[in-house]
Amino acid sequence: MAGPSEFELLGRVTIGQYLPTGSRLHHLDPRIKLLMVVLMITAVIVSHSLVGLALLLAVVVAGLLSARIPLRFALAGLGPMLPFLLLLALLQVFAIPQYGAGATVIWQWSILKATDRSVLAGALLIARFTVMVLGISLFSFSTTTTELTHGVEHLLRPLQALGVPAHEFALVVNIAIRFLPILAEEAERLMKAQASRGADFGRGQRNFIARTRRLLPLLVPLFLVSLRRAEQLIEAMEARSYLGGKGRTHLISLRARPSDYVALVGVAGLAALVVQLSAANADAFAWHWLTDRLL
Amino acid sequence: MNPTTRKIVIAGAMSALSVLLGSTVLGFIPWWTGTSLTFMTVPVIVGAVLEGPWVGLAIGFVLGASSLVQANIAPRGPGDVIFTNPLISIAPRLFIGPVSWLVHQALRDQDDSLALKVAAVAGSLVNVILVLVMLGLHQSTPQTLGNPVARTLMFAAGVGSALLVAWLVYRVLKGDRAPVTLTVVGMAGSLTNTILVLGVIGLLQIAPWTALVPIALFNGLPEAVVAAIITVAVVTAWRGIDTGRTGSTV
Repeated sequence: MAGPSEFELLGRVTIGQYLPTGSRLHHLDPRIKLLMVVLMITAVIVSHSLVGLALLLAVVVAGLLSARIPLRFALAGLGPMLPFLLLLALLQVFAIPQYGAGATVIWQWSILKATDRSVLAGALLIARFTVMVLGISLFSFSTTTTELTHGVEHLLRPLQALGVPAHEFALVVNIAIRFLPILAEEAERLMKAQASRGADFGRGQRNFIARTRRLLPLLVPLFLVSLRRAEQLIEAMEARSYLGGKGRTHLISLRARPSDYVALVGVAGLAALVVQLSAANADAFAWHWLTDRLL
Repeated sequence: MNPTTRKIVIAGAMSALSVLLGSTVLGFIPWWTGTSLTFMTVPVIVGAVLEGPWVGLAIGFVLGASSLVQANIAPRGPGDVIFTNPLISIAPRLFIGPVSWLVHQALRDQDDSLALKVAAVAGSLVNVILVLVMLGLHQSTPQTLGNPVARTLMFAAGVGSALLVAWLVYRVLKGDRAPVTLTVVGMAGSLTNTILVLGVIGLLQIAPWTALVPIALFNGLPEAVVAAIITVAVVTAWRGIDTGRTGSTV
């Protein structure tokens, strides 16, 4: 086990990592940023065009640069995945049949064969993952968890008319974020307490059922502690007459500025363009354009 | 719907626990297939059993969102590549809670001979699902699965694992009613996760079905057993239900 200590848990939790560089992107309205991320993810999933994904990638990298987030931070997520990513891409090329008209075999060796479509599928897979990893890193490095929960609550507010408990859901997320360090600390304490009594948590144990049983003296108290803490919080909230979201006001009120809307419209336009590019078969066009000039 | 303070807070606490289990070594048991068995789904199951489907849904969403962010920012292993897609990391997790709750509702008031029935149904279901999957594979990749030896082997694997599941379920089930129900609930919740995550991966053609079926068998089933053991231990302890076990094992 690499890392500082087997009893150290909190350092491994990545939710809520934030890089306060104070850029313009950091100051965007969190609601707008959330919408932008949703638009971007949709475009990435829907798009079947390499040109479109390259365009998105360029915009995301520009975003990272303007947010002054070091590229190596954002790329750190990509490194460990690379071997598996390549394996998945190879599976796309060779193992998943890409049927349909117009697929030409460009390489074949006994039962292994690659068509132009399967190579495109492999390239698309790598491009999609790269854009997604960098985009979500950009969002989470530039948004605090408080901003995030506020954004979620405000965005879901129109749905409240339909009976969606927006405020309550945002509160769930808030409580989860608040509980996380407390529970990590409790877990560390439990692990040390059990270890000091000579418990081993089944390392080297082959049988997984026996191994799970060994973990129970740690897991059962951990669940009970969190449920007990929850009971205390329920009592504290009810003692202070918490009555749900209706009619509540906020300490921080979000107000979108013109620049927020400009950013949102820009990203929406980009997403629409990327989807259009994939519908208009831009890749084939770009491919012919390139081969006409190079070959 | 107007959730009570209790539901909100329990959902928050269990969400935190599932994020903690999902993002540290705590929630994983190393396993010979290379992919660790995870029981980060257990807080979702426990939340759904204690406070109902909506709480399960909320916890599942938080678990999914955290695994999406984690896969993107600080992947733990190469397998996290797949979870960068929200269709895989979030959507399937939404169903863990509601399914667990439904199963719990359905089984709660049944009589004691349930163990046998459930075991039989689980075993035969596994067989049916596997056989259907094999048939599907046979259609889609004739080169690899066309030969009779491979087909016989796969059929044997299907029957074998069905028997194994039936035996496991029966062994865990014969006993008191509450643990019985909770065992089934734990397995159902965990299997919902496995089946839906792998199903979406297959549907999106990220990996071929031939690679996914072994994962479902060799990771999904033991994962379900682990989830069942922990669910039973936690819920019985919290509700003060007697399981017939006494004393600490440490």
